[in-house]
Amino acid sequence: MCTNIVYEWLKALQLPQYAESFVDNGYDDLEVCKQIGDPDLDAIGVLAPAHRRRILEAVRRLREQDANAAG
Amino acid sequence: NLLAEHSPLGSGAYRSVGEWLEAIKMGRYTEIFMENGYSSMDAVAQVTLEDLRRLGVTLVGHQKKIMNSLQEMKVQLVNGMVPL
Repeated sequence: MCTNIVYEWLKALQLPQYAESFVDNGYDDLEVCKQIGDPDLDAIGVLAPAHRRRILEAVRRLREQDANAAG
Repeated sequence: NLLAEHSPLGSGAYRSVGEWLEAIKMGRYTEIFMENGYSSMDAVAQVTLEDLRRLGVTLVGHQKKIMNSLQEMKVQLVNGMVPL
């Protein structure tokens, strides 16, 4: 099996257990992960508040990297 | 005649919209599709991103998954033996 970028990202966040559910729900690259909010986490099944915070924080960083690259 | 059974989406891989959606783990939308007139694979082949939004498929991951699957089926059609 090839390693997926989302798996690598989640592993870096120490939340690799959600990788399969991310990909199953279509969140299979970082472009689509940038658009994640609460409803997406609901569908994926990330319920633990600490995990949700950690992922949303990482999503914010992805967007910032974008903004910096554009500027 | 096998060719006669081919739908516009190619080799008739899925017999119903429900079967297709289940296969890509989007089974939760089956009822919405059926109720809004996307009740055959032929009808589903015409679906656009706008249609999905109108149907209430608002999660970008799910939009991506459904559109990618439709795209794959269309590619299989183009690469297949069935003349357009």
